[in-house]
Amino acid sequence: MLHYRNFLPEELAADPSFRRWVLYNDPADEAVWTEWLEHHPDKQDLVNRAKNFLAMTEAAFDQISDEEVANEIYRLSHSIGENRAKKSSIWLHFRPNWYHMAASVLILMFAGWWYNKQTLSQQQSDQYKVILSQIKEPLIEAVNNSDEAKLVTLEDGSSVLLQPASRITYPRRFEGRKREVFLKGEAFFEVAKNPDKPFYVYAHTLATKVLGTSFKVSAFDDQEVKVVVKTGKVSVFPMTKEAIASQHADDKLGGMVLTPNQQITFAPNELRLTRSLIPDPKLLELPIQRQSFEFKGTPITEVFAALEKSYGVKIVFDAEVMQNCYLTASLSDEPLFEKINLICKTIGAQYEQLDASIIINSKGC
Amino acid sequence: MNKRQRIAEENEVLLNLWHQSQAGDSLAFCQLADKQYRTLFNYACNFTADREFIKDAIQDLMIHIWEKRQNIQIQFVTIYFLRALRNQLMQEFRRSNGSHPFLDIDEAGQISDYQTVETQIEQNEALNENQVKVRTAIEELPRRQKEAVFLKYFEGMDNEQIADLMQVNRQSVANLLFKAITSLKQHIHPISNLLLLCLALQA
Repeated sequence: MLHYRNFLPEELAADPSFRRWVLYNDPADEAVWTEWLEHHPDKQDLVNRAKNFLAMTEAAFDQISDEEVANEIYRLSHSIGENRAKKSSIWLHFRPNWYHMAASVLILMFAGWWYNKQTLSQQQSDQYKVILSQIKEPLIEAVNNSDEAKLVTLEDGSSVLLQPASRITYPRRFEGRKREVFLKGEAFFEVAKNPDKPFYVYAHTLATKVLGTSFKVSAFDDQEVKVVVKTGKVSVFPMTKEAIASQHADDKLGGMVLTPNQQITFAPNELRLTRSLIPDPKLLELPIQRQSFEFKGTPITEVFAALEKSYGVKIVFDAEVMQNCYLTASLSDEPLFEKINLICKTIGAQYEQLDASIIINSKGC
Repeated sequence: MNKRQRIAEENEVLLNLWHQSQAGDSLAFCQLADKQYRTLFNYACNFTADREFIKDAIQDLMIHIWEKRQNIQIQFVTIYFLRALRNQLMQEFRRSNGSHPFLDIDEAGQISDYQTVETQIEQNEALNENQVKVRTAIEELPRRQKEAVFLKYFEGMDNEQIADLMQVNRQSVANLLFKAITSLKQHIHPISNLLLLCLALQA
């Protein structure tokens, strides 16, 4: 390790271990470099320069968007005679050249895998049981039998908007290195950011892994499973033993990676994953998926009304006392209570949670 | 603990997909192409600025590899694809014999391009000022220096692999990189100093 002392920034930037730390967040290498820096505090400048150098070359050489890549892979899948794809998904009726005309309306991508049908289903249900049995904390089950969305707040602060006829099972506390929940039906997640503890949603035949983001999973029985991303990045993979093991092995996002306004569908009877762009973001089904939390000098009454509507919670506050409170803020995928917390900090108020209501205490603005 | 291991791991995943592809699984092949696409596209940008040309070239290459999959032996997937793409680009450039609007072949028989840096920057208004400066600096490098810098710092390849891919000896790679870094430094160092200053002020 000593020889790194005499490195130039560009030599450091080419060093495999340094790259694994900076570009791939490898925990082992991170430990190595943290320790090295403790022993060589005078080299912080060198490390910063090398990091900058890497960040800049990464940005300078990257010239293509996710959408363009998706388009090209879609084009390829047609060219190499992926005929089976056409039957099952409406997205795939479009011709390869079609996207030139309609790129702004609908871009889509196709890829996926086939597995042996029987063994996969079997493996997946086995896998489900294995994961469940490994969780030692008491499990809580929330069921929504009403016809409105129901807010469930998890121990780590993440919000789950559980949709009608849906059920979520989660541990009382997230022990260990992962946060794992089990979904049947449909829910919109806003995951509290914690890169050290990735968040997994297991739904039917699919597993979704996130590091902090907002997205929706739909998994009703006998229907296709669907994951839609609003912000951030998630990866989706079928629930096979191998896939789960490799996802647990590191903090990288493997599997099929989804970025905002993309969705993945998985048809259980065809055992195939399809990735596509949301045809028209305005058509998203859940109000919260459409909702933007951009406020510019907005009266606080309107802010709370927007939150009430999106999360289906009751916010209690004194409208008269707070009539001069205005909010300018750009909120996005924070869980509900983080949003409330940020708003309260901004306007100098406190909040408490009482049953299904949130009480705001303010002396006015 | 060194680089070989990371490459071995990644390569293993890719090889797996490749073997599935060889067995006729076109979806595995699409996945493989998906994983390789960004690298291939960005690599080809070192040769030409014509994005549609690059896309078509990669399509042709992928289809060719898919059709010939039974007869192709691959050891290192990324390197194989990069080399195949490089050969294909060279062939197409030679065939077009300078008629391609963005390309010609320079004195040393190598391809060089004379795209304007300005158009490149206009396309990238979203990038911040520093990134634009660095990108400009990289764009201004002679083509082969740019290619070497890409392989070294974007792909993380070592000089030996780069030499093999670019079909030159290792000393030439070292020289290319040295020259490139020297000219990049003139652009990047003032910037990174400024960045450090900003960071220090924030802290």
